[in-house]
Amino acid sequence: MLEKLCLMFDIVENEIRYLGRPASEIVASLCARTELSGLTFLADCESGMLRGEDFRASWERSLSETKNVRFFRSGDVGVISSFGSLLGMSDAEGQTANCRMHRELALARLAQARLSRDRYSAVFSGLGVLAGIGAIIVLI
Amino acid sequence: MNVSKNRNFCEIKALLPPELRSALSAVRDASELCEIRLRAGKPVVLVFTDSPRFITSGGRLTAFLPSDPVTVSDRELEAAFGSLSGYSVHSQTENIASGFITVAAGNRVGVYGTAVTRAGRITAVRNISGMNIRISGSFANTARPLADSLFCGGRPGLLICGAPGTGKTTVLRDLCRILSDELFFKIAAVDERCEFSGDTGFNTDVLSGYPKPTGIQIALRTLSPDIIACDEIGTSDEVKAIAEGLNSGTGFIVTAHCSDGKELARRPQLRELIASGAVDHIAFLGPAVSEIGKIMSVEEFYESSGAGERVRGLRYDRAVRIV
Repeated sequence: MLEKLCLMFDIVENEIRYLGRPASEIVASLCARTELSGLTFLADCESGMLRGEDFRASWERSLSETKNVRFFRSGDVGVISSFGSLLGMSDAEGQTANCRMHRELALARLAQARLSRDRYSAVFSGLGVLAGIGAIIVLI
Repeated sequence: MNVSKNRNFCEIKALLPPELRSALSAVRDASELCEIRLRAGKPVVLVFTDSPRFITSGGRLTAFLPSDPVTVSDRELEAAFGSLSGYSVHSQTENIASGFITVAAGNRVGVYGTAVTRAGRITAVRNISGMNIRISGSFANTARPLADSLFCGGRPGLLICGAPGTGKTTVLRDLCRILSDELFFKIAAVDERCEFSGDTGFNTDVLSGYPKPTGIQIALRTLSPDIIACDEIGTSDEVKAIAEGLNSGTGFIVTAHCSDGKELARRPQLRELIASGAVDHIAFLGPAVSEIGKIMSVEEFYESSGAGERVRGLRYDRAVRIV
């Protein structure tokens, strides 16, 4: 999911830099991308805006729905929320910097998550082996 | 009650932060409301056609500055700016550097703060310290006198003059609609400030956001217009583009900031526009919003502002008022 988030930041950067799209159109464009299909908060945000909700309010509301963020940790949600609070609040150069900064944050979190996964997978593998040996001893 | 003005006011109000939105509920009828002035740390001022009003903390409108006026904080102003710009400051950077953003229904919001300059040119504005939200409204058939008196037998060049807030854009928009839908002229409207929303006619092509000289060239090359409409002509480049466009036989309807013939005679770019032959008639607006006042031919204008520095009484062929 964090990889999809990084991709999302790249897409937004391009949308702003080359097309100058407003925030509402950016969200609609992101929703149409199949490679971002797992980021359900985007569709929720879009439907909120179609109902007349403010972009920022819609973004925050969609992130507060548990079903939209169940694959993210609270720190990851913080990164997405921070991105939304700055989206569209400065010129194109500022927005490009915003996208890059949040992409770096997401990449850092992704690297940390992978490190944790590798560490715990080694630990669990070891525990599995020990449990197997223990079971054999008990049977014997 | 002006329905379109009230509708526009409600749309604008919905974009503002909750505290401001709640305070603006004090306005029951926005038909006479022209502007909402927001200044950081200062009372909210509502500019009506007769006089300005303030809002008390109790939710009442008053013509005198109360002891407890509703004020705007920096945070509210920033939130309002973000919301009014559609959270798309990046797509309105040029407009913001020019001092405005355009919001729903063609309402224009003047924006100012601390300018960021580069080589003497404003490239951005930071620390927004104030906004002037203009509430637009459509007045159906406000341009009828112009259409009936000038366009039934041809397509003369027309310059519509008026002071700020007199409804030049409203009249231009309505004139495009009438000429498009009733006289079947092909209209190309170069809408640099994205204010041409609403009904502009089925035969009107609106080029939104195009700088006027470029938009005029594109319209001439690709849209074969009978008439090109432009709002707020004022620079030499724009006048030059219009003069070049005359060779194609296209008529022009343009507006300009100008209260009367005396002021018109003092503006070099507008004198150049008239001298180019692009304009056959001049219409002055005011004093009421979107009210057509004097309509004069260019010959009469020359006569009235001719030799000598004093304007010797303006003659006009017809003065038409909106009922």
